[in-house]
Amino acid sequence: MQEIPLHQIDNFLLLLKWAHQKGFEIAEPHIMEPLRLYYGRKDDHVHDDLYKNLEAQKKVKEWRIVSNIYKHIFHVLSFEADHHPLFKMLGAFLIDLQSEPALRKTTFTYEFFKAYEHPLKNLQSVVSKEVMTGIQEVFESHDDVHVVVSHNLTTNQRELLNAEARELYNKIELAYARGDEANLSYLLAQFTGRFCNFPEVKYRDEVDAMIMKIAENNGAFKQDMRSRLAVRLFQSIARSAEKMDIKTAVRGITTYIITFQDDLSLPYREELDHIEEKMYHFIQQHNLWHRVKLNTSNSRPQVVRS
Amino acid sequence: MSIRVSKRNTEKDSIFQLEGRLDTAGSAILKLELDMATQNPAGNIIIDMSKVSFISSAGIGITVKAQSILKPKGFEVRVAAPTEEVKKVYDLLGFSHVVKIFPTLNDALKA
Repeated sequence: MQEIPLHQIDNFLLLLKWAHQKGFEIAEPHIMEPLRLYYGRKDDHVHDDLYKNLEAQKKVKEWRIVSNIYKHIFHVLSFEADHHPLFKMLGAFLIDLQSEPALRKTTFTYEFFKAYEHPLKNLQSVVSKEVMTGIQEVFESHDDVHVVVSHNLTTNQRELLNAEARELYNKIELAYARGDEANLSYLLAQFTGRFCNFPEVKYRDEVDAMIMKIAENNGAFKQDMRSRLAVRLFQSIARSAEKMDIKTAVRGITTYIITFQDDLSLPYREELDHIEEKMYHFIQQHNLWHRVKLNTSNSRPQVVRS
Repeated sequence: MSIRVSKRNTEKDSIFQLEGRLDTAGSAILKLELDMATQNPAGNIIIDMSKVSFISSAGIGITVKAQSILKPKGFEVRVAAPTEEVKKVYDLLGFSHVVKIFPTLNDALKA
């Protein structure tokens, strides 16, 4: 059975979280209804101890059985009036998928992603529209240019970031030593996305070197890692723009260009165009070009062939 | 279509004249041309951006990539006559140090 790519799982998780925040109106048509269509009718059987059994099978790593138990749980929950329990279990399933290659290859997992293929595309376009509208409104309504160009870390903030970087880097080393590729690509993308806007944070060089080393001999890892990273970087840029932290958004875009160069097939490319257009227009309107520019004397982009 | 690309060759250089937006959709069109032009280059690649109304990270990314391929072969990508805003975006993101920018097409040809 074909293995579901990790970046698809990541994206599903993101959309699931977003739909959960938006409540029943979004959850019902985009998340619950596709499952109801997949199952056809309500499950009237009584399933005792499904949850207990799920945990037991996870412990013994019987991933085909785990997959079938999830299938039963979703069947029951997708017909319930309250969407919260279903979302909780969908989240758990997706997190398990991130870490377990065997679970990513089961028949149910394949069918599950097939069932959500179009609903997720629709949900994606709803999310994109909302993000873009939100950013447009922010740029159109904002005049306080003093807020948007401030970007200096205090000593305390720097120490906290370095501690966070160390913790994450320790996990990366552990995953590397274990040869746990799924977790490793997740952690590397997480590290790069989290700290891309903070060149002063420690372990960045070590992480970059590790990515280069692994990607050199493993094309699939490289592609998966890139897609995961693209989503994280986009999120980071969009969040900075929403907060009117333009300097941070600019740094994120520079990192994006260095990392992905001419790869136009990545997720959220068109959304990024839209953010950039609104942002450059805002910078032009307020004549901020020099104030938000990267300090290129000590952080000139280093471009290497990817 | 967001961009129109026309190409002509001088004795050694290739000149691409662009008209429109160099966003993701426009960059995909230019990328096809640049991929071919960077395979066996006989000279520099000059991209006339005098009629480009908008450039995003996608457009900058493909010029940066083309530059990284050409440079080891002894040639370079030159951006010619960009509009004020396009030039400012290259500057803002720090890539006017990676891809050379010239005020006119003539300057790019003579350099």
